[in-house]
Amino acid sequence: MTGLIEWRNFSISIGIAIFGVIYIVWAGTYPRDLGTLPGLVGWLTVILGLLDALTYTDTAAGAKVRRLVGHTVEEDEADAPKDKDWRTLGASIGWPAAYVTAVAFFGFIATTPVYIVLYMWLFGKRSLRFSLISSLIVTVIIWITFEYLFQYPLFDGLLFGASF
Amino acid sequence: MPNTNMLESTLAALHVLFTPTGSMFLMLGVVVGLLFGCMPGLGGTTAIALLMPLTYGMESNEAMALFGGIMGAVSAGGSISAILINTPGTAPNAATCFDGYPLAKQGKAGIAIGAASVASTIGGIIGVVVLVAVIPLLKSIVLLFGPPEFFMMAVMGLTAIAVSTGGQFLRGLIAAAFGLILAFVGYDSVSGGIRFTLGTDYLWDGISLVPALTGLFAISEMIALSVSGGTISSEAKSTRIVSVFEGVRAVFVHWKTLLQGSVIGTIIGAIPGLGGTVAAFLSYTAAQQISKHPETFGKGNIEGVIGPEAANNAKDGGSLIPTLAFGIPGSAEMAVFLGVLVLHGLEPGPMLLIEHQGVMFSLILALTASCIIATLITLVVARYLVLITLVDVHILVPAVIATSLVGVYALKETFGDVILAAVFGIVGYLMIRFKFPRVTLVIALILGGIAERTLHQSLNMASGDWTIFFTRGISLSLVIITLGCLTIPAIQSLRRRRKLEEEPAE
Amino acid sequence: MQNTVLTSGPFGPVLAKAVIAAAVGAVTMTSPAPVRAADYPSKNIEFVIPFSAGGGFDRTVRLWSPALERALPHKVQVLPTNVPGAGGRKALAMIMRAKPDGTKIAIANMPGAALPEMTGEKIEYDLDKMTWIARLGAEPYMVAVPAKSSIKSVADLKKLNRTIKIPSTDYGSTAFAAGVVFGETMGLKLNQLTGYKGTNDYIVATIRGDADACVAPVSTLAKFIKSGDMRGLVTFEDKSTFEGVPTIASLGHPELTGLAVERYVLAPPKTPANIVKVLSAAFAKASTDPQLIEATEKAKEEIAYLDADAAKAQAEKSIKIYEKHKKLMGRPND
Repeated sequence: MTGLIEWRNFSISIGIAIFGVIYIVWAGTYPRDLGTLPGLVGWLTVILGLLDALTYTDTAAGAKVRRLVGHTVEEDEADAPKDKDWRTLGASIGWPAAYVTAVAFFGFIATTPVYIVLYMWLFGKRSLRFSLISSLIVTVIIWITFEYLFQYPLFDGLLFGASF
Repeated sequence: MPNTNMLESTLAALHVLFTPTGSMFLMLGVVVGLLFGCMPGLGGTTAIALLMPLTYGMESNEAMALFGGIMGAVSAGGSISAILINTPGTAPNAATCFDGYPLAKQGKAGIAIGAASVASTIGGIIGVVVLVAVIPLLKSIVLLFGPPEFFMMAVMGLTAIAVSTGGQFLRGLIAAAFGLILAFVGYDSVSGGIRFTLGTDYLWDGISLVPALTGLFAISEMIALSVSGGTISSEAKSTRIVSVFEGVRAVFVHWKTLLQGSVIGTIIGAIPGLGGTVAAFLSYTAAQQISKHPETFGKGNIEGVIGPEAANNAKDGGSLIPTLAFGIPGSAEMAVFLGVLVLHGLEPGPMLLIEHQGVMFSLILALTASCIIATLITLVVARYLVLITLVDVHILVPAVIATSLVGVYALKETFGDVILAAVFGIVGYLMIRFKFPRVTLVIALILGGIAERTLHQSLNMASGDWTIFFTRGISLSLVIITLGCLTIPAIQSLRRRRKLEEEPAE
Repeated sequence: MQNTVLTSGPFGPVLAKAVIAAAVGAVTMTSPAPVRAADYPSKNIEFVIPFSAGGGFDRTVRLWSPALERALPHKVQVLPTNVPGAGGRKALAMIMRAKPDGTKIAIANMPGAALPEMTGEKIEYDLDKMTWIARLGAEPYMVAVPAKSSIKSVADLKKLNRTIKIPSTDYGSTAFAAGVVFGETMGLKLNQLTGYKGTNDYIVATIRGDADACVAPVSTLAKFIKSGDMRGLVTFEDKSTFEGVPTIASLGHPELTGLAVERYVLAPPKTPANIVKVLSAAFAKASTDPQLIEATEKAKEEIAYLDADAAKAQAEKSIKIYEKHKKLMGRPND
């Protein structure tokens, strides 16, 4: 029965192929000397994406490509990092994203201690006191090194008059 | 006579270095270099740019001591964070992460640091020795390499991608394709047009390399660490001094890797635009090819640390070749350093070495001394540094992310860089998770732009005639080498497979 | 390292920011209060360079900044800041949008900065609207060939009867435009090889033989002539610096005398007149600063100072020379 071996990897490769198509169209909007090479790379992306997707299917063609390319499904599954629960994953990405967004508005000096404290306390489950002390130490070190020693202005945040 | 001149200049430079102020500035440079090197997001260019205005009015020789000190120490500093927290301090140290960090995880961080430091020193010294040796030939060397040669070197580098995919051939190529796609963003100086900028000013100049690399290697690793939790190393074996010296010994055992890395570093450093990152990655793949146990690369093979670290220091000597010959910067640090020269009334150009030989020798000497001093400092503090691997990840992650982003912002004071780094951090994590090699993306990103530009330039020069790549001596040799690089591994694996297939028949 | 550590930011504002952030108060952005004449300058001035470190404009700004600092009525720092990108347009676009409070000024490459508009490209800055502060220097161009080249004069170039290869950095560059002007005036067909990273790079390319000849500022070519690598063919100066190199006037085209790369200082549009006056006066004073004169002589750069009004007039005059040839200035593969 034909089916998918690993749906996540398969969808990613298909997604890549689709992006390749979009990119080809995008490259086509530029005059010839600017768009030729990108267009070629776009085609390459589509072909590679489709081939890669093929290796994650249970078809004869897929098996042939897998042998050519030299990796087996068993190897893949053995090497794959164990997926933690979605919550940990989402949080690990979410925290830095939130940090950057906050820095955009409030600047580094204001946001960094808050970020470190909250991350350590809420996500890392450390004690509040330990988190506060660590975050203060790190922020002070950053401040001393950049603003004081090297006179580099840290980003002040949109709220305080800085502009992009 | 050139020889006595050089000897005089060297002695004069030595004289300056041993004065109290001279050595003070050298030490300051080394410390600054180490600090900036080990903090992700910062690096040599930031350090030089920051200290440049402070040196106005300083005596030129002392300024050279300072900046030579910085340049020689930066990649040593970067190797520390690469090994301990899988976060390259500077872009060229990214290759050191591949085997340095696994060693740290096995509790062998001391060995890795010891090896990295000594490899850096010897690599740096070899780079400088080659530089000094070719001083009479400087101009001729630079004149040998024009756009067709640069293009072939870029292609050669891109083929290194095909070889370096480490078992993920298709995904490696896809990552390379993405690297090229990113390389096409921005202003193309050959045709004068702007591409793929999504309507923003920020992307006018394309994807800035340092924020992208910081995100791809530093921030992504922090996200991965955040997901896995715990501490980096589960054992406290690494704190003993003995293991550091074991690392030092390993460098001499694997002297071939060391030599190869140094040579690659010097040559690549001498080619303007390629820089330390390419040198380190190429040296890594080369080390893998000559190793007796290539399959252990990526899991903690010390050769994978020695090669890149030798390369990223050797490149300092190499990058001085075009800089001293004609005032063409061989690397990003050299480009900023040219500003320093201007500030001190030393005009970069073909007369620099002739009119200011003494000052330049101060620089070269400072660079050499810095390699050695940086290593000594590192070896001494190594046992304390490795304690970082025992620090709880939940403190490390936000601290490193914050420091990296602050450092990235400090580069050009553009918040867009911070956003870029964060975005690449997420992309990098996804690449780790779904086993897309990041190395190939980086190589393609760096080389893609160079390749396209030099291709256009070469064709313009030849008025559209493609044979230009085959009619120039060096270019032709590079074509042959590239083809060789591509086919030899294929032939080898075919031979291996045939042997395996023959055995059952016996 | 004297005054920098001491003038670092005090602790007070940092605490204040933290408090405000924690309270998450109102979201209004602070707007700049109007600056009174006696107060300017009160904050550090960013002197923006549209190119990366190491080039001619970078050098000019770094040479002038200390002199400017000394000439300003109040003590502030003048900070050279490199904002390279898109052939210099990124920095100018930034100045176009910056607040007209005298804290950001830029050096501009003329007529390079005017070229994109001339060739009909959409650009993010308007030279007419910007505030002109001064002209700092003008570097006349020269055409040169490799020392071992068989080309001994411009007539030899014509005799080659083929396309002449001339390198430059990119289309936003004045050198490229000067090349076009030269080519059209002398009746030569040119193949412009763009894409080199800097002036030194393309001079070396010419030495290497990638190109037949190159157009570059006299001061930059000087060191290559002195080292014996290059030889001058014709110069656009009034009087030739190098023996044996004819002026363009002596070759029958005096209208091209003065073809140069000029360095102007620009400020954001609608900069108040009092700020312009202070800046202008400071630049005028700086131009006579003995330390600056000594440093520029060492760097072989010339000071050619013009005040605000004269600067704008001269710029318009130079632009007109190039406008006559603007048909050939655009991207070739359009």
